[in-house]
Amino acid sequence: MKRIGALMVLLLVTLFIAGCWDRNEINDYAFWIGTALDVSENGKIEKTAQIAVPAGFKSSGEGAGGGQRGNIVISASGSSIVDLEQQVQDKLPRKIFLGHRRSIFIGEKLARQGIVKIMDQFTRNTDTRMRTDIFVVNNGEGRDLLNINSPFNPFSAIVAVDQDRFCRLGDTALRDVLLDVGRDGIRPSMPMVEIAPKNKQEKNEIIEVKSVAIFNKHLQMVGEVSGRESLELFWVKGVLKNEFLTEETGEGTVSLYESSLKKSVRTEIKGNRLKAYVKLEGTGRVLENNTDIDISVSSERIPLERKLNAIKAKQVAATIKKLQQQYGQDAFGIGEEFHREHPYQWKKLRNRWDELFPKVEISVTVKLKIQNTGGIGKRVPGIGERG
Amino acid sequence: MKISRWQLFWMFLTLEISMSVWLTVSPTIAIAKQDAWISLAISGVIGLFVTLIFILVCRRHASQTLVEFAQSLFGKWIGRLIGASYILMWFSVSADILRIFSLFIKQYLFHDTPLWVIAFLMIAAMAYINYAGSVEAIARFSELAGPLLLIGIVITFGLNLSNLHPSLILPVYADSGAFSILKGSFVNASFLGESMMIMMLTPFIADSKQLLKPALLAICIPSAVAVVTSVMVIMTFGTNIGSTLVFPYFSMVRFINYLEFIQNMDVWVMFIWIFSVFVKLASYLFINSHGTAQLLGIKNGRIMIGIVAAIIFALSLVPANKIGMLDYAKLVWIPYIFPIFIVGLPIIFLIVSLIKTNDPHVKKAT
Repeated sequence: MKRIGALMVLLLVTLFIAGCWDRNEINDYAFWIGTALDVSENGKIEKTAQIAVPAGFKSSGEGAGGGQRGNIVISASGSSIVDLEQQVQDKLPRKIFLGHRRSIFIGEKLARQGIVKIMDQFTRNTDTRMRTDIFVVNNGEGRDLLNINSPFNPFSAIVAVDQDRFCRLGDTALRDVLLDVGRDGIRPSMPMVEIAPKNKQEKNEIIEVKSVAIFNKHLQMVGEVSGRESLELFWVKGVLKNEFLTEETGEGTVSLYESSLKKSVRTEIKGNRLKAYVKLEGTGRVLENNTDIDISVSSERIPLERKLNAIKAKQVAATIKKLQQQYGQDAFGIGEEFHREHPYQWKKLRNRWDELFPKVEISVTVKLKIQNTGGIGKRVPGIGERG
Repeated sequence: MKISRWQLFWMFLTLEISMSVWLTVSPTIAIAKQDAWISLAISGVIGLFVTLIFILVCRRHASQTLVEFAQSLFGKWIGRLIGASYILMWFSVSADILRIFSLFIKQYLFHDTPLWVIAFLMIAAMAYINYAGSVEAIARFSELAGPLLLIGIVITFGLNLSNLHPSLILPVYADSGAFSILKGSFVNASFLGESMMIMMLTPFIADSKQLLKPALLAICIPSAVAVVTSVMVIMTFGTNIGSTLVFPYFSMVRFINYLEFIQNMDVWVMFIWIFSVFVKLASYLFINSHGTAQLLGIKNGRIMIGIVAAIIFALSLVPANKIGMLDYAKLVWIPYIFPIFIVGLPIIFLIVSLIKTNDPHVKKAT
C-alpha cells in the first residue's frame, strides 16, 4: 500500500517536470540594453531599443571601427510604452528580456512636451529594474544615441551610464528623478547627453555628458544648465561627490581636485521674506598652478584659499540666480530645506513654491580647503617668475 | 512530539518577520509618511502587549488548546462557537497568505505558470511537513530558516547603506502628526497579533510555563527589523515611491548594486522569504487541522491535514487579484479581526479565566 502511494506521488511529480511554463533558455532571450523615447511628427511616442546581438560581441575586440556591431537598434511607434514593446518583439526572433536595461534616453522634444505619460511603467513593470540611468538627449533624438558605436563597449547605452557615473549621478538617476517628482520643495533634474563630435574619429563613436535638464512640476523640461553650472547645481543639491575645479584668480589659473564635497543649508523665514544660507565645503588637492603664488607657504596659500572661496561663491550664487530668474524652478531643493527646518510654516508655502522660489534671498559661502599641494610645493625653477 | 521554547522563538520570529517586513511597510508609509518608523515602533509595543495577554491566558491553560479552554471557560456551545470562529478566521488568513505568496512568485519569477501550480507546490510541502513531523518538524525547520532569514535581512541592510539619502526622513512628526502615526501603527500591530496562534500551541510546548521571554523576544526582533526596514525604504525611495510600492523591501533589495558585482540579490532574498512563508503556512495548517479535529471531536488529527490543506488551497484560488488580497488586510484583518480576535476575546478569556480560578473544571495556574 505504501509503495503504491509513493509511486503515485512520483507520477504526480513528473507532471510538474513536463509542464515548465516559464522555461526559458538563455539562447532564447534578446537582452534589451537601452531604450530611447522620442515623439514622432504625428505626436505619437516612438520607441527605439538597443538589443544585444551576442554573435557580434567578438568583433568588438578586433580594433576600433572594424567589424560588426554588438547590437541592433530597432524602432517602433505607438501610443503607450508597452504597446511599443510588443511591436519591438514582433521584429525579433527571441523573447525580449528587460532586466538588463541600463538606461533610458529621452529626446529633447519629448522632454519639453512633458514626460508624465511615460513614467508609470518604469516603477510598475516588475520586469525592469529601477536602477536605471535616464537622460535627456540635448538637441537631438534618443534614437541617435543608440546608433553610436563606442569603441569601449558595444553598447552606447552602457557607455552613457559609465560616463555619467564618473562625472555625475550614475545609475541611480531614475530613482533620483522619481524621488523629486511629486515633492513640493524640489523640482526634478536629470543628466543630458549630447553628440557633438569635435574631430573625425569622434564621429559616431563619442558621446558627452555635461549638461543637466531642469523640469517643472508637470515634468516638462524647461531649461538646461551646462558644464560648471551643472556641477554647481548638483553640489548645492547635495549629490555631487567630487569635481575638478579651475578658477581664474586674476594672476593666472589654479586647478584643484575637490573631494568630500558637502553642502549645508540654513533657512530663515522673516515675515514675508524667505532667506537661505547655502554653505559648501570640500577638501582639495592642487593639480595645476599657473600663478606666481607659492602654495607651499601658508601666508600665501591662505589668502589664495580665501580668494578661491570668494570667486566660487560668486559663481554659485550666479548659477542659483540664473535658475531663479530664467527658469524659476527649484532644482536645488531649497524648498525641502525650508520644509525640514520650518515644517509648520512650510504648509502655507508649499502650494505656491513656484512663485516664491524666485524671490528667496540666497547667500552662498564656500569653504574649500587646500589639503595637499600635489607632487611639488613651490613651482619648479624656471617656470614662472620667482623660480 | 513537544517543541522547546527556543524552537518556538525561532518559529514565531520567522513567521512574524515574513509579513511585517514584506507587507506592512508601504501601507504604514502611506498613512504616516516619513514617520512610519515611529508607527512601527508603536506597533511593536502594541504587539508586545497583546502577546503578553496571550501568554497570560496560555499559562492558565497550559495543557489545553484554544478550542478546549474556550469550552471549559464558556461552556460547551459558546466555547465551540468561539473556537469555530477562530478556526474560520485562521482558514481565511492562511488562504490569503497562500494567495499573496503565489501571486508574488508569479509576478517576479514565473509569469506564465498557472497560479494554482505554485499554490499547489506550496500546499504539498505544507501537508508533507505536517504529516512527517507535525509541529516538531516545523519548529526544527524554522530553527534553520529563522537565522538564515535574519542574516539575509541584515546583509541587505548593510549593502543598501550607500543608496541612502538620510535627509528624506526629516522633518520628524510635523508632516504626519499623532493621529496619523497611531493610525499607521495598527497595520503592523495587527500583523504582529498573529502570535495569537500560540493559544493553539501551548500543549505542544515542553516548558510552557516559561514562554514569556521567547515569545516577547519573537515580537521585539521582527518589529525592530520592520522599523529599520521602513527607515531604509524611506531613505532609499522617499515617501512617494515608498508608499506606492507593493513590496517595498523587495524593491529595495533589487536596487542594491554594491561595487558593481553584488547585484540582483532579490533571487536570494526571495528564496529565504519562501522559507519563512512556508513556516507560517505550515503552522497555520497545523493549528487549523488540529483545531478542526478537536472541534469535530475527531481523535486522530492527522486525518484532517489533507482535508484542511485542500480547503485552504481551494479558498486561496477564489479572490480575483493581489489588490483583493491586500484589501483583506485593510478591510477585514485590521477593522474586524484585530479588535475582536486579537485584542477583545483574549482579554475576555483572561478575565473569565481569572474569575473562574476556583472553578474545579479549570486547571489552576501555578
